[in-house]
Amino acid sequence: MTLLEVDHLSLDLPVDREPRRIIHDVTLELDDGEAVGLVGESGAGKSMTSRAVIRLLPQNARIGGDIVFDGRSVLAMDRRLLATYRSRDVAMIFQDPKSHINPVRTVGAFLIEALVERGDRRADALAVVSELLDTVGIREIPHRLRQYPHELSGGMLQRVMIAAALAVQPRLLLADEPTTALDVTTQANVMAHLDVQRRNRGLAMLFVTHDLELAASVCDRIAVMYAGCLVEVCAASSIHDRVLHPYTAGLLASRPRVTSRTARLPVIPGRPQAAYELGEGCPFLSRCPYALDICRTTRPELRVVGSSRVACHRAEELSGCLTDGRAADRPGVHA
Amino acid sequence: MATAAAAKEQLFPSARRRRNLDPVILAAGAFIGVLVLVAILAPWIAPYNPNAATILAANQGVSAAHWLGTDPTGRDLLSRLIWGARLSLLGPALIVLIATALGTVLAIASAWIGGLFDQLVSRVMDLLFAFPGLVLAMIAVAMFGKGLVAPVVALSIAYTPYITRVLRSAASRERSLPYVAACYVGGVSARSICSRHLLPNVFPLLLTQSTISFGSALVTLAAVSYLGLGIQPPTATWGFMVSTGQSSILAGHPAESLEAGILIVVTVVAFNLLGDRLAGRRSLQAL
Amino acid sequence: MPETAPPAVEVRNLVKVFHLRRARGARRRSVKSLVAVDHVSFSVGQGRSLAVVGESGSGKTTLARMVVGLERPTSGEIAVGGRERRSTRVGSRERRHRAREVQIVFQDPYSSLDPRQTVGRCIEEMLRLHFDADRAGRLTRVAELLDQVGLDERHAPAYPRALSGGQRQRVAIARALACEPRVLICDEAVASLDVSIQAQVLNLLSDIRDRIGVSYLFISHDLAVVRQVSDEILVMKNGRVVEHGPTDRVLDEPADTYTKLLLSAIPRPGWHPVAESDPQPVAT
Repeated sequence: MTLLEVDHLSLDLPVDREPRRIIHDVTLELDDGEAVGLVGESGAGKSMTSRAVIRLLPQNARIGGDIVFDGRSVLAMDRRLLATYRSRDVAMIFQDPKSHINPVRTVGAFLIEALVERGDRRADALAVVSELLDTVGIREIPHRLRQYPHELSGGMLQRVMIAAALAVQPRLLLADEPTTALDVTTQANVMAHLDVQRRNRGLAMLFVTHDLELAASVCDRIAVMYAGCLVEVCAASSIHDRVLHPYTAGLLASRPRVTSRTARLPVIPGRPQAAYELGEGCPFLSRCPYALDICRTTRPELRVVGSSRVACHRAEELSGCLTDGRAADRPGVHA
Repeated sequence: MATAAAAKEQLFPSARRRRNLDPVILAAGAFIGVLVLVAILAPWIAPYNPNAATILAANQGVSAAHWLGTDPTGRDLLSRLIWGARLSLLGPALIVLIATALGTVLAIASAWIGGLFDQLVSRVMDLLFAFPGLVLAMIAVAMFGKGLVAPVVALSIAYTPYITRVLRSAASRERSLPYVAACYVGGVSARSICSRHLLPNVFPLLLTQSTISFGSALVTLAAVSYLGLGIQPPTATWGFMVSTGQSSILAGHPAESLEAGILIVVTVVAFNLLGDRLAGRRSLQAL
Repeated sequence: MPETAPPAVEVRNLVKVFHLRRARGARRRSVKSLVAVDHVSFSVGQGRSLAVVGESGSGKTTLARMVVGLERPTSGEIAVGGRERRSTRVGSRERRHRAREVQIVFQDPYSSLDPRQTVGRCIEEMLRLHFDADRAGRLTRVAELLDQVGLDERHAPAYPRALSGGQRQRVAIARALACEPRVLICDEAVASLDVSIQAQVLNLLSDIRDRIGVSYLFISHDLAVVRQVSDEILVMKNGRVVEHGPTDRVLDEPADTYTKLLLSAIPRPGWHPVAESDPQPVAT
């Protein structure tokens, strides 16, 4: 069942009083209990897309298209409906937990806030959050509840954020680069807790990250964004075997591997384009080695090719040539 | 062709940004510009000798002959305000100039050297903060006599901490950035790093801080004049005009105090607005 | 390179202790001291590349800052090109001399260039300090350096704010190379770049090594990046070296448990994150 539908979403933000396009026509849906990884480089519009889902956007942003959550349009909600939606249906986990937790209140006070606000009794709320902290691997809970945010490490604080997000029993989690600021070992731990809890509770998740591998390891599907456009949506399991968009292929190939060294990394030439710089044609045109005349004149729509959806005119002919050689590194796979 | 233009635009975006100037900055700047011009051109544009007393024309109201009326000794108020602009603006200008120069050197040196020197400078500045500028000016006048020099020197010292404190924190923030470390590693001398890297990067803040200080210095210096401790009569200053006009207010002739007072207020507001808006622009550019 | 040539950098028993002081008031009494770098020794041969790997708080950045002269070691020795470094405070002249030996590229491309200095003037400043060329000669060299890092003369009059992160990092590399150092330290130099740009800069760094034979000291948390650029790896944890060896050996057959842990935490095809709880307190 479809939980969230992002329907032809576009977003303009004024810069110097001129509207500047941030997101071009993004269409994406999330099923109940499904995890989708929204992957892209900086400025690709992935964060803004996730923020649009809870209407957490600058005042002067102009939104086009629609966002539908469980049959209701988020963009049409009035203040009260929006407040209920934000507090019960979705929860957000941010990149920098330190700046999203009030530094002068204890961790306990932060955790029970939403529950008490909703009308729970303090003692009940404390019991709920204590249990949640336990599930995300935090020990000495009574002590932790009395501590202040600055007394916890980054990884622990991020797990507190996850507990806070789970406390309101939402149906959708929005995770915006939740582990980017953490060390790798801490990242693995935090991601594992997030993943286990999400699966156990059957929550849907929109996971925003720049790390394709990380997204592939915890998500069901991957949506790749480039310059404010969605260029490819595919199953996470097939990301190494069958990528269809030249950008996704380039992204996978240009990341150095820990298992082996290449004489020269394959690179995507040029620099990432900003959404507002795009011309008529394909967003990836200026960096694409396979560009044809049609790519210059017509922007490709996202369309179904095989089991994926891809926005590339040449998807059919290129399928197969773009396959990432790294699949061979995977244990147990010898093609 | 189009892409070349786009590439150029992307590399040099400043030209476009400069065009939309803030109207408040324009208005305040224009007002201050006119004021400075008037002060410089006083001998040519003042309709009367500012010190020529004509008892017969005492306490006249606004008229074609005297646009802003006359004082109890029959001196033309417009001419006195025009001539008064000279010292009324020169005083604060000197104060701000000296305080800014002193404050900038101390602030950047503190930020660069750090440690004990920084602590010492901070303590001395705290000490100076404890003395209101007016008190310092009065002490200076008591020691060195009335006039322009003593209050200006005293107020320069009194305003130095305001510049120093703000600039020091900005400069030490800059100093901790990697580009300064890169210069250090590159072998650039301390003096060059301070003058060619730190100073230009705190300059916008320096400009706003001294603009705002100007307004404040103008009021304080006017207060010194008002107390009769500044420039001595018959030379006109706005502050002193407020004071001499005071006695005729009760007699039903408020023009002198009122006009000089309004001029002081408007000038100060213009400087503060300018400083404020410059600060606003700076924070926008930082984005 | 003759066998007898001294190593580009040699570090022996380097220690850095930070005294954490309570803010004002208790100035004399140091409350706590932190050993950021604990008896670290290594050497980097001419034209070789050593990666120092570790997580935040491992002391890897402090180590780099000591080698480049931004921090003074508490004890231990640093020799660059066989020349011992004094650990006392040094003047401009000595710093100018050292600048020709070691240069550094920082992590954040946004704050490592002076926002009020054009790209050209930024590089020229280094040339003017270290070489006796006239202005025309310097401008030619600026163009050469920009070309070397994949930019061109058109970028010389641009201010950093007009450049992308990757371009800025290239300028920072050009500035460092302007001094013609023996050793280039890259302190997480590609960590904050986008993946597609990261690959470009990594290729650039290896090209530069091939072309001018500079040695690298690569400070990184990213083992995949390290595999790509280094000959040797030094794994640090809490200021100590836990493993040191050739890159392939350390990454293919790690000996230390911490190195294994680091390796197992890297997302890759077929990888899945594993949860662990905080250690249970002893007395419960």
